[in-house]
Amino acid sequence: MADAAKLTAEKTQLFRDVKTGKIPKRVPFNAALTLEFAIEYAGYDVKRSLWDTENIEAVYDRICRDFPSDLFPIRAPRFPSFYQILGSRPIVMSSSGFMQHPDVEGMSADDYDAFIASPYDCLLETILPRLYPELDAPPAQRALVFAKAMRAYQDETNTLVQMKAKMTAKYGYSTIPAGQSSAMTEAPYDFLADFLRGFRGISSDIRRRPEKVIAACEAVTPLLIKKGLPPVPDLVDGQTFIPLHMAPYMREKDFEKFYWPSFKKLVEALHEHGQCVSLFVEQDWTRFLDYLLDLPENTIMRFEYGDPKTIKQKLGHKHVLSGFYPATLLQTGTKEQCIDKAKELLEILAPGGRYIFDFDKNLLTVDADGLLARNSIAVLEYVSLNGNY
Amino acid sequence: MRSKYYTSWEEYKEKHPELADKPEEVIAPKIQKYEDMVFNFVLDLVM
Repeated sequence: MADAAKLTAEKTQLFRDVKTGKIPKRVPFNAALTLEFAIEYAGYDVKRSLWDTENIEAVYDRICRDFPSDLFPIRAPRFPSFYQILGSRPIVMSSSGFMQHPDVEGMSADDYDAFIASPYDCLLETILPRLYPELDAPPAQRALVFAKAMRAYQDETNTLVQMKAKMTAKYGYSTIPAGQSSAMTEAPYDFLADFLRGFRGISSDIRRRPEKVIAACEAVTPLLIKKGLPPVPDLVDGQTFIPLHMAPYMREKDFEKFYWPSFKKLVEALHEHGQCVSLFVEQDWTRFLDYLLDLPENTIMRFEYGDPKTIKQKLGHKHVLSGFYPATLLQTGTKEQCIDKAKELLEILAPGGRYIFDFDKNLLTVDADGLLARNSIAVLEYVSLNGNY
Repeated sequence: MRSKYYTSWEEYKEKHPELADKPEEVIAPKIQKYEDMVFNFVLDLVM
């Protein structure tokens, strides 16, 4: 345990250095795995384990034992219990047990005015009952359904928090980001697109009712700022995660008009409240690098695609970069090819600091011959031994 | 944020004069915590 505490202190310092623009002792690295991957890797059934969390500790322990990482390596999943209680339409379990998000429309085009007038009221009165039909019930029944779902949500969350603390104490992970300083939110335009208007709806809205889209993004921004503020904001130990979705599918002039203003306002507001922001820059944002440069210093940006040299040159002196390592290579490459890629990325991205090694996306499923897991472990071991400054 | 379904502590206090002589420093964070837990759950359901 004393060794684990020492490891925690060392690893935490790596992230403190990276997030304050100092060059750390070595490149911090993160094994980003989904719980579904972890369950399969540990030999359990995904469908059963997401419903019955009895095996989660064994799953966590197996992963933490086998996959080197400076951060606790398993990302929080969506559990089915509260979605089932609510009769969920936007998140459903597939026949294989994976939680999926069909393109749904929780808000009709006719709801824009009500949403703009009060987004929270519109969510509760109109959108939630549409997305979660068990809430489309008389008041007493609706209250009971909501209470049961929220209790299930809290139970599942508490289980994960306790297990994560246990693994951190045992394996010595970084305590950054700290629990009381962690949150998640969304860019206003993504929020409108994901569960409310859907991909097709929002794409049509920016042509047919552009002023309503802009007004809706502005109206919902205060809610998303509030959602992104944890109980104890912290620019170094804290982290608000924002996954970015829609921009790569937009023309630049639409991005500039509809996506960027409210998103920038959100990130700047969180920073002004003293909270660090961590973006998952999904798909290819090469067209928008000048915009990202304009965000507050030391914003963490995990890139999925794009040229790491160009992005390092453009953003690496101001922001903390991460990602880029192609998860597809781990599925198809030899061990040598995978390690060569890690070496190449370290050479490009490590100089000057402000870099966290990470895959370009979280690993989702285990392949039949176990190549993905073996290659991942080999790469993470390589980075742990060869990332010194 | 203005909403008929979200109540800040100041608004709550106004509606509940029976709390006037009670220890606000411990009641306020507790009441506000549950208000915010519901807010976060609602938002999580649409993210």
